[in-house]
Amino acid sequence: MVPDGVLPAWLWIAGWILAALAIAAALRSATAQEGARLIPLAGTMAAVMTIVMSLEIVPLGYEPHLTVLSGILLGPSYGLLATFVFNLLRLMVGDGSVTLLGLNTLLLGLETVAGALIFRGLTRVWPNAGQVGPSAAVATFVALALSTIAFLGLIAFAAVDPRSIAEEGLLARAGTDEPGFALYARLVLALGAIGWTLEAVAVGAMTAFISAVRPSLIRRATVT
Amino acid sequence: MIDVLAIDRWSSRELGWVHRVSPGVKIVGVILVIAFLVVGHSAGALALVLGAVIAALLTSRLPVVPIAGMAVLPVTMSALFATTRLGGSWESAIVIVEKGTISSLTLLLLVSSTPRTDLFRALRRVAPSILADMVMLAYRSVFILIERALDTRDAVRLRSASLPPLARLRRSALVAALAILRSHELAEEQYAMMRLRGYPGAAPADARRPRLPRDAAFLLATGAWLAGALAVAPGLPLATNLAMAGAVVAGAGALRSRP
Repeated sequence: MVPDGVLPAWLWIAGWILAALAIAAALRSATAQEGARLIPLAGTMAAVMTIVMSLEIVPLGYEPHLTVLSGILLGPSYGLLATFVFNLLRLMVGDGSVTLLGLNTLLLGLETVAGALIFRGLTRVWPNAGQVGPSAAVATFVALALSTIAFLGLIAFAAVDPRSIAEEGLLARAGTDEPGFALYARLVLALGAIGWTLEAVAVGAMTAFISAVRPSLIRRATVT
Repeated sequence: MIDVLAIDRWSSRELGWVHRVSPGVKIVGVILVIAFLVVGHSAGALALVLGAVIAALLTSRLPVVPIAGMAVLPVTMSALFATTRLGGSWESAIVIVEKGTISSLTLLLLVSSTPRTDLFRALRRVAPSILADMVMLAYRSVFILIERALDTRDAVRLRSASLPPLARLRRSALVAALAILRSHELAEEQYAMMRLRGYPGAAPADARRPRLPRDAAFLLATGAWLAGALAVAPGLPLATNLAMAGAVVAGAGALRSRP
């Protein structure tokens, strides 16, 4: 967790503004498309993300969130709103940082929205029910990779010193206290890929199960 | 994991003076503290504010040890993060840990002393109704999901043998999916019932009763303490600030131990 007041103010203020715009657009789209029908599921998925985030895979320093599952079940608009609510709940239980709420919402929201859109595209290419699980797994892996690349892009763009954001374990693995951005990025991507794979397997299995017992949830998300 | 059931239990009982401050005023107080965290970079000033937050916790009649235990995870993460900054200075590392601790304890104090219905009612005044309803249902679903997931996990474990890691991961995924489906069903039914009964409705009479003297005193004390810490503490040696913070905590501790 990066605490409040560490990243430059222009960065997190821009994050707040962009997140507010994205949430306003999602609210507008959600109200127009579904009314209040998806609110209970969105609340449930925000709770799922709140619980799952505490199951950190310690050796990797990887925190699963199941944001892509939210995108698959809720679609991009409600998925983004559920991701924002998840970030609020994190704050309410004393986790997360207030100033980074905007940036966290944008990065995790990217996972949700990209996952929803990739899954939607894949189910059009592979429409068989048996391919729902693999489609969800592929969507999860790609969306998580995109989000991590966006995070690294942000760090590079803001010229943030990798030492100020890297976890201690990560530096120990690198064997140096002075990692350049390239080394930091390589480590994050290499360790992240293991985490994305595990999360992709879990999301694929969950989506396949939900598709088998409650196909309307998956169909609704792929249509809206 | 944060014990949300315990937080819910503490928040719904009127234990002490923090419970009796209006929810909206407490939220404003938290926003003031967070604004202070954003602009405050002096270890001494932060120590004074941390002392005040700990004093509030000690005198709130909330259980101190469990709440401190809940703050351990974010504080440990801040401490780990701070160790990566030791190349800068000791003071910058202390500042990071202080910020993490203040942020975590302040929010825990808010949620442990304010019934969730009051928090959500305050939220509905400032946020779009879709978002406010989602927050309410999400908060409630946390309890149901944990319970359902544990029940389902036990049921699956009792009926299946030991499995290799990948199969175990898939089994855990199925347990989670089943818990999600059941929790969703309950959330959908409850939301439909709430709307049929006229949710959100008006606030209870007690929630509307003005608590002006107490609220004003709380806000004035919070604002004055933060402004004082920001204005005075950076000019004093760190040891003096730590001694003042220690005195505040000791005073609160003495008040707490009084019968």
